[in-house]
Amino acid sequence: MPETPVQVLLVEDNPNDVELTLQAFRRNNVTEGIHVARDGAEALDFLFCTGAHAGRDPASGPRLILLDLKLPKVDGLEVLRRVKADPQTRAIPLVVLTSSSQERDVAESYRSGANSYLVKPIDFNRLRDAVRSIVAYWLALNEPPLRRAA
Amino acid sequence: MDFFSKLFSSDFMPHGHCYYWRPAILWLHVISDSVIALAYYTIPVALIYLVRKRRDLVFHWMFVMFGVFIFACGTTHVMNIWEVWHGTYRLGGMVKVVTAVASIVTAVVLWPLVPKALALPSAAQLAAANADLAAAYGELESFSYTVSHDLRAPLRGIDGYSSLLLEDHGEKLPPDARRYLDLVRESAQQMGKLVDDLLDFARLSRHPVAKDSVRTSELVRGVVEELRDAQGDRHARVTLGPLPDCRADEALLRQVYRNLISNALKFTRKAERPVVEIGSRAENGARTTYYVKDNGVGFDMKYTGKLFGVFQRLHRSEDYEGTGVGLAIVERIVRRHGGRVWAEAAPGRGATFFFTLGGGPDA
Repeated sequence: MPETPVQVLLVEDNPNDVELTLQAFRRNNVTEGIHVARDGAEALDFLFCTGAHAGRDPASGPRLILLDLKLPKVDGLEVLRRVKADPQTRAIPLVVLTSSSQERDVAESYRSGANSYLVKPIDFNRLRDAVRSIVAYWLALNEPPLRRAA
Repeated sequence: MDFFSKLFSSDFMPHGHCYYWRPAILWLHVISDSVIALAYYTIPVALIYLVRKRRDLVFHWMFVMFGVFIFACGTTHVMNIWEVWHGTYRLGGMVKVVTAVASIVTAVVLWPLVPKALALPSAAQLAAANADLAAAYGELESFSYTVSHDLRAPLRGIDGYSSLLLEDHGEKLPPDARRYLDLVRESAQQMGKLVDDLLDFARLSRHPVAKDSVRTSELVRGVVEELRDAQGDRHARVTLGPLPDCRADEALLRQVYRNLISNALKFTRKAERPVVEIGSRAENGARTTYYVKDNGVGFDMKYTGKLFGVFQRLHRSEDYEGTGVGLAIVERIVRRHGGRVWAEAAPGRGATFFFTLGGGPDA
C-alpha cells in the first residue's frame, strides 16, 4: 500500500506553535502532508524509520524538515547533527525555525549543516509570510535531491 | 667646619691595618662587601623596573623608598671596601648618615602601611571574586538564553490566536471587540520588541570590542541607505560632512550610527523640511567629535539625565514608536570604546547627538 508522501516534518513541542504553524500552512493552501513530531526522539524515529515508525518507507519523505531547537528528550541541535551525519537523511533540506536568535544557536546550527535559520516571528502575519516563502521556495521552486532507490 | 674640609682627606690609618694586612681576612671582607654591594645595587633596578611597568601598583612610592634605602645600604658596603686602603672615615660616616636617614624614613612610613596593605585583597581573594563574577556572568548568559527562547513563546500564542480570531470570526464580532483584539496584538508585539531590544542590550556586554580602522564615511553612507530602504522614506534630506576614519569595532559603530540616524529620521518625520546633518568636528587638536543633528521635535534639556537610560522615553509612544533602548545601547557602546556621548536640544528645534571614541593611538 503506497504511503501518503510527507511533504514537511514539523518538529515542535509547543502545542500553540504547532497549531499556529499548521494554520499558517493552511492559509497558504497546504493542508496535507505535514507530519508533526513533538520531541527530538520522535523526530529521529520518524526520519530513520525506527521505533513507532519502524516499517515506514523512507522514500515517502519528508521533502523538508522544520526544526525547533529547544525540544524535550533529544534537543534540536542533536537532531540536526544526526540528520546531517547520516547519508540517508543528509540531503533533506532542513530549516531551523526557533524562538532564539542567540549567536551561539545560529552559529552552531549552520556549523552542523542547517540549510536555513528562521526566527519565529511574534506577529502572526509575519509567520504566515514566512511560511508562504518556505512553501514557495522549498516545496515549489527548490529542486529536491534525487530520491534514494527504495 | 674642619670636619667638612677634611671630608676626603685620609688622615687616619686605613682599615686594612686592623686586619694586619693579612690577605685571607682582608679579602674575606672585601669580597663579601663587594658581593653584598652588587646585590644591593641590582635590587633597586628591579624595583624601579617593576614600578615603571606596573603603573597601577598600589603604594608604588613605597617600592621607590625601598629602592633608595637598599641603594644607600649598598653604598655603605662600597665605603667599607674603600676604607680598607683609605682612612676617609669622615666620608664613610656621612654615607652612613644618608643611609640612616633613608632607613629610618622607610621604617617609619612602613608601619602605618602594614594595615592598609593587609586590607588589600590577596591574589587568592581576587581569584575567588573573579570566579564569582564568571559564575554570575554565566548565569546571566543562561538567563538571557532562556528569555530569548521561552519568553517569546507565549507572545506568539497571544498574537497568533488573536489574529486567528479576527480573521475567522471577525465579522461576528462587534467593532469594539475587534478593536480590543487589535490592541491585544499590538501589546503582544510591543512586548516582543521590548524583549528583543533588551536581549540586544544584554548581548552588548558579552560582545568583545574588536577595534580596527574604520572608514567612517563609508560606514555612515551604508547605514543611511539601509535605513532609507527599510523605511521606504526619502522624505528627509541627509547631508554628510567630513567624517575622518577612526579606530572602532565596526559592527558596534554601525549600531551607534544606525540608532542615532534612525532616531533623527523618526523625530523629523513630522517636520516640514526635515534635514539630518551627519558630520564631525575637531577643535584644536582635541579628539574628533562626531555628531548627528536633526531639525525634528527635539526635547527639553532638563530631561537629558533620562536620555541614555534603558526603557526611558521622552515622547509618547502614540506619537513616536520605540522601546527606549536605542540610546542606552549607543551610550554603552561609546563608553566601551572609552568615549562619551551627549546631546543638545530644544523642544521643537531639533536635537544634536555628539560622541567621541576615546583617546590614544589604539583607542
